[in-house]
Amino acid sequence: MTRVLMFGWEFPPFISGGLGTACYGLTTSMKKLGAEVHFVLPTFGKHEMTVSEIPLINASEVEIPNRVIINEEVIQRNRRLYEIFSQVTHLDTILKPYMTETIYQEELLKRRQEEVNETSSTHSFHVNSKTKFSFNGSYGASLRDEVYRLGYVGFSLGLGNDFDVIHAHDWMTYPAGIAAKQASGKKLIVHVHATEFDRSGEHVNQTVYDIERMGMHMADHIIAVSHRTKKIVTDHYGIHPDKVSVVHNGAIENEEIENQMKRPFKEKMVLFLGRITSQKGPSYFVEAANKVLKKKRNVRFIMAGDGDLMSKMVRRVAELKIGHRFHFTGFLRGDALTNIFKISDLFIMPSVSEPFGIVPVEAMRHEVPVIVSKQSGVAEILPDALKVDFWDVELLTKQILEILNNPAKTKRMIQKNNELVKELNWDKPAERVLEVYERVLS
Amino acid sequence: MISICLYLQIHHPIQLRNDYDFFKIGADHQYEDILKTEKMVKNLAEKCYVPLFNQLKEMISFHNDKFKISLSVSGIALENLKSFAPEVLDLINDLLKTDCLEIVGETYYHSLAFKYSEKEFVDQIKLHRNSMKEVFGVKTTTFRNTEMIFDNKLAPLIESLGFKTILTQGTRRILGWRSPGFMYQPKTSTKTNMLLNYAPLTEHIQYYFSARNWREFPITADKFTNWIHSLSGNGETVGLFLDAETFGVNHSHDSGIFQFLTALPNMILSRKDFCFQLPEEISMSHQPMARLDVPHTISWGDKERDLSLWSGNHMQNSTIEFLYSLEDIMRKNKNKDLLPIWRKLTSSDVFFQLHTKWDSENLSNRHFNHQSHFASPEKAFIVINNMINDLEQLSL
Repeated sequence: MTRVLMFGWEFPPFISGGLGTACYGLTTSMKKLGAEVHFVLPTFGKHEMTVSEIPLINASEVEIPNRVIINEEVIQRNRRLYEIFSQVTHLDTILKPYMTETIYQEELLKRRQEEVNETSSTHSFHVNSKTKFSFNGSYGASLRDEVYRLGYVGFSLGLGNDFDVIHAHDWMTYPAGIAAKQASGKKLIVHVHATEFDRSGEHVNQTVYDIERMGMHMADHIIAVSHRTKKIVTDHYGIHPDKVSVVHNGAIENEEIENQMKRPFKEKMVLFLGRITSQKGPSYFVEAANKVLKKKRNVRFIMAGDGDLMSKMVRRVAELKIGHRFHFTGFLRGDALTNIFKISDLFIMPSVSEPFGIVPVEAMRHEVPVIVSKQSGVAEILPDALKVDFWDVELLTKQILEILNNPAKTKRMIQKNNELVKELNWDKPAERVLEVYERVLS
Repeated sequence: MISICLYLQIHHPIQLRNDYDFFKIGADHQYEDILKTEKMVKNLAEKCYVPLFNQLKEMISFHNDKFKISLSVSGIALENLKSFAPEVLDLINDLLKTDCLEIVGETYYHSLAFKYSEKEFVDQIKLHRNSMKEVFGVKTTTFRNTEMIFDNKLAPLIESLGFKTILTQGTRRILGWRSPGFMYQPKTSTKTNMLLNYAPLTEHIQYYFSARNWREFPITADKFTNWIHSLSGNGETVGLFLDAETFGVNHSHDSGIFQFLTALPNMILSRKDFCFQLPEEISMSHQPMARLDVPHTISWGDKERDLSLWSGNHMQNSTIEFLYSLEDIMRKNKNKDLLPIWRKLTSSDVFFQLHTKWDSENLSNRHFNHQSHFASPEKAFIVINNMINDLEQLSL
C-alpha cells in the first residue's frame, strides 16, 4: 500500500476554482484503490473535515522544528532549501501562531522598516522552538509569504518520514514538496493543474514562474492534466517530455438538491460559468451574446462567477445595450450552482487558455449541451462536443444559434454526452496516478 | 425692493435592496429595503423636519408674516412621511395656515420622465398636483422639475398645465453675462416666469456651511447678509434653493445651521429694501428682465449643471432605455399594481446609483441623498436590471 504525503491549497467546500474539487475527487478514488493519502492544507475548518474521507493535515498546526534541527549548515549545503527558507522574512520574531493576515502585514511592514535601518545582512533561519505558522489559505496579499512558509511545514513533515512518495498540487505547494523531499529523500511528484502562462497569458509573474520551474526541475516526475498543459511544461519550463505524464481529470458526481428553482424566463438560456478573468475569455461570450441577440431575440445570457473583469463585462454589456437579456449572478456554490445548470440550455466555455476545465463535464451531467474552446484541455476528452477557437466570435455565434434553433440535433448531442460522462469519474485518473508512483518508485 | 425666495425641497432617494440577485427574479418582488427607509425617514424627521418646521413657525410669527418660504414634497417623500413620520405633515399643514408657505409642484416620483416620455412626465405632474391638493389642500402654481432640469421644451408643457412660475438653476450656460438675480421668461413661453437659484450664494449654505476647509468658513448670518445686501442696485430676486435636509442632517445641529437660519431674516430684513416673497408673489409683482434661450438641458447637478450625473454613462443609458421600453406594457397591464412600482423606478436616484463621475463635487457626496447603497456602480447595474427584469416578467 503506497503511503502518500500530498500537499494541496484548497479543498471543498471552500474552493475558488477547480483545484480543490480535483484534489477531492482524486484522493477519494485513490483511497478506494488502496492508497494511504495524508493531505496537507494551509488551513481548514470543520467543513473540510466532514467532506473529506481521507486524513487532512492542518499546516497551521504543524510544529516547526527548532534551531537544533534546522541548522544553518544543512541549509547552506542545500541551495534549494536556502532559496525557499530565505524568502521567509524574520520568522523568528514576527511569526506568532494564529496571527491574522492584517496584523501579519502590519508587523511585516514594521520589520521591513527596521530592516532598512539595520545594516546586518545575515539571514536567520532560527525558529524558536515549537513555533507554528498561521496560514489563511486564501489567494490574497499574503499568498507569496504563505507559499514559502508552507516550505517549513513541508520540511518538518518530511523529517517525520512515514510515507513513500510526495505529491504536490500546483505551484503554491511546490516549495513544501521540495522541502519535504530534501528532508526525507523520498521521490517528489508535482501535479500541474495550471501554469502561470494559463493564468497570466504572456504577462508572467516571475516569482510564480520561478517557483513553478524549480518545482518541475526538482520533481522526479510531473503529472499534467492535459496534453495541452504538457506542451506548455516542455516548451516553457525546459522539461524533457519523458518526465511528463498526462492524466486527464475526472469529474465528481453531481449532488442532487432539494430546492430546485423553476425557470425564471421562458427564453432559452445560455450560460458562462467560471472566474471572470482574461484566462476564461468572458469578453468573447459577451460579444457573441450581442451578435446572437441581433439575430434571435428570445435568448438570455447568464454570466455566473466573479473576477477582476466583472466590472468591465458589466460596462460592456451596458454599452451594447443588452442588459435586459444578459444577467450576472456573482459567484455561485451549492444549490445555486446546480440550479443554474438546471435552467440552462447551453453552456459555453470560451477559455483563452484552460489547462483542463471541468465545468463543461458538470454541465453535461446536467444534460446541458456544451461548446468549448479549442484552447482547453477538456476538449481532448470530448470528441463530439462543438469546439471553437476562443477568438472566433463569428463561429461561436453560429454554433450558439445552431444549437438553439435545432432541438433534434441538440437532443442527439445530449444523448451522446450522457454516455460519455458516465465514464468520466475519478477512478481511471486515480489508477493512472498510482501507475506513475509505481514507475517512479521502481 | 429685492425679493428673497427661500425654497426647500423634501425628497427621499428610494432605498433599493442591494441583495436583489439573479435568483430573486420571478420569485421575490420586493425591491425596496423598507426597514432602511423607515430608519432613514425617522432619522430625518427627528434631526431635521420636526425641529426645522417648529423653528420656521416661530420665525414666521416673530416676523409678523414677513418671513416666507416655499416647499416641495415629492410623492415618494410624501408616502414615506405618511407611513413613518405623519407628524411632519401636520407641522407643514400648520405652517400653511399662516399664508407664508407655498407648496411647489413637481413630478410625483422625482423622475427624469421629462427627457424620456412626455406622457409619463405630464401624468406624474398631475399625480403630484392631486396629492398636494389632497394632503395640503392647495393647488400648485409653481413648478420645479426634478434636479432643476430645464430647457426650451419644458416651458410650453408646464404652461399648458397651468403653472405660472418655474424654479430652475441660474447657470452661466443659459445666463451668459446676465445675473441670476433677476426673474426671466423662457424663450418658448409667454405665460411662465423663471425664478433662478442664486447658486454662488446658495452653495455656501448647501455644500460648505460646515466645511472647515472652505475659504469663507465660517459662514455667519452677518457675512451672508452682507453678500445679499451687496446685490442692492443690481438685482431684484435672490433664489435660495436648498434641500430641507441642509438643516440638521447635511449640516448637523452643532454646526450652528439652525442659529444661522434664525438670524438670517433678522439681518436681511434690517434693510427696508429687502423682503421675503413666495414664488407666486414674485411672479406677479416682478417683470421678467429678459427671455432666455435654453436649447441644451440644464440641471443643478454637479459642476457641469447638466444631466451627466444621471445619464452620463452607458450603464445609466442602457438601464433607462430598458425601463422606459416597458412603459406601454405597464400602462396597459391588467395588474394595476405594476404601474406605480415601475414609476417608482423612474426616480432619478435609481440612475444616480450608476454614476461614474468620481471627480464630481466631493462635498456633495457627503449629503444623505447622494449616498450609494451599492459597493460599485456595476453592482448597482446588476441589481437594478434584475429588478426591471422581474417587473417585466410580472407583466407577461
